[in-house]
Amino acid sequence: MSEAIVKALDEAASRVGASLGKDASKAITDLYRDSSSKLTDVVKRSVGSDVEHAGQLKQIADKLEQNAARTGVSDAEKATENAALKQKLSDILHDPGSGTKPTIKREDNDFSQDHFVPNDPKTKQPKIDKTTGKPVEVGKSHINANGDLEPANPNGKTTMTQHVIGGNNPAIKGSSPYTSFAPSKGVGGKQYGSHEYQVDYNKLQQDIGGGKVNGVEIHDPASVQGSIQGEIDGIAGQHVVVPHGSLPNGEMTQPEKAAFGKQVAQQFGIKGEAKNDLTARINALSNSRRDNEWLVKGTIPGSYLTKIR
Amino acid sequence: MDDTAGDGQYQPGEVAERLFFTRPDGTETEPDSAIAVAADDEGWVPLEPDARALLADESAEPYDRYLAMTALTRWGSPVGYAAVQAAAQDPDEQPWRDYSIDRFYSLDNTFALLSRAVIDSVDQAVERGSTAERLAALAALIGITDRVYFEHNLSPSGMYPEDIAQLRGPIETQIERGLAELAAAPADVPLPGWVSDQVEELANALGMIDKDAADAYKARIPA
Repeated sequence: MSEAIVKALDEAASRVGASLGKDASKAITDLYRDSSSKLTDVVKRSVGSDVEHAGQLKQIADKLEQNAARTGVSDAEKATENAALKQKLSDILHDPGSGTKPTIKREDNDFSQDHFVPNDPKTKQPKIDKTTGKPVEVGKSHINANGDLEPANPNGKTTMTQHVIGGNNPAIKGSSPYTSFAPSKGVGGKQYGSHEYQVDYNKLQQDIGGGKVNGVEIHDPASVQGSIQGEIDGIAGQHVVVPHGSLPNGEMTQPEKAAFGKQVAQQFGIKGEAKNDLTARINALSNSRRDNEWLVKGTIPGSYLTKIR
Repeated sequence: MDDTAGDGQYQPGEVAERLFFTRPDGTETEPDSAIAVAADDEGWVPLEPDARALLADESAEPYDRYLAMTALTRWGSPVGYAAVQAAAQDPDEQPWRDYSIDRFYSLDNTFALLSRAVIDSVDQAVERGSTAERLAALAALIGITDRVYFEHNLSPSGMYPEDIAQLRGPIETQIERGLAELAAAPADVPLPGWVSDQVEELANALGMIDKDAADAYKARIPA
């Protein structure tokens, strides 16, 4: 946690430096780095004080980079925008948060099932897979017999990006070692599932760092989005600035996604399966920005879970 | 397929394995890639007969048939669009429901994925002259947003303004239906949160072509 945000800010500052000069870059890095150039407590404290800060900091990094890469505008205009973004960055880094314990949440109608067993709508009995002759099972995150929150498959090989993309292959989802979480805005609000658990991610991260919890990784929005971005860059063969869209949190509209995907495919000569991979990842990145999605890899011990309902 | 998959996980039958899980060179692939790759440059031509036969085969595994419907839809086939319309007539009775769930809430997302195939087939429908059938299929899906979870696909991030303009009537009818259902829901047994959100998302979609109308609808959504 936090390291991915610093990496995103460092990369953005580097591109600001290439566009607007070293001083502009240093003005950004000075906000979150100390003299020894190590990860300071500033970012950690900010992410730890409010669950929204991680996503907001990643957004600022994206916009700093996007601004630096803009064409058809003067350096003065870029500098003005850069100064405004730097101020926003400073504001978030120094925002003390709401004062309540920040958490991430997961909702489900039935946490007790380690897999979903669809019923036949006619017989009301479990559906039988005609290929295997066995009841159909759809793996999912669940509370296991020990009271821990276990992903569909703690030892599965599904990658972070595959988990976010989802798609039409149930085996990919059933083999995921990840569980998706949304930022929690307290108790109440619209319910998508009849049950909800929240995780105090600061306490969990502290105990992961201290060796009390093993085999668990917390990925904040910067880490999730950074992973998807890395795959986009890999397909293109170089870094691609994926612009923030016109919807809240930088989500892209359908026309924005379609136009950008076509432009990148054309620019880098991407065809066939790679073109589909690119399109899926642009879509996933936009969705992940919208949701400010957090992922936890591995099984979360029950002592870090709070049952809300 | 991943060898860590559980015993009870879906296993494709022979035809589905060949169509959706195997590249022409025999190596493994994923249904989304196989279907999308075949959507370009008329790659669907040699595959469509087998996909149509699989969709029609009532003895086949339901999810195999679902993938066939998804593929035909994504390739702009009128047969695929007709199957989507038929499925939307009775969504809870579809044998492939619940084979796929979303990552946040473990809710069925088969219709959500199907909606993507309809929306993303815009170019193929134009090529094949099946735009009217595509719009009819999309209208059928819009008509069940009070009963079926569509992730966020029927919203500005999922729909084209051109489709929204063509389907303004069905969209407004569905927003009105959703508003009536939300108003009628007992306070102690509220509808799932996604019902309200999908009304708002449809209104936001409408806002891409008529912001004032969208704002008027959104003002009526219960807090």
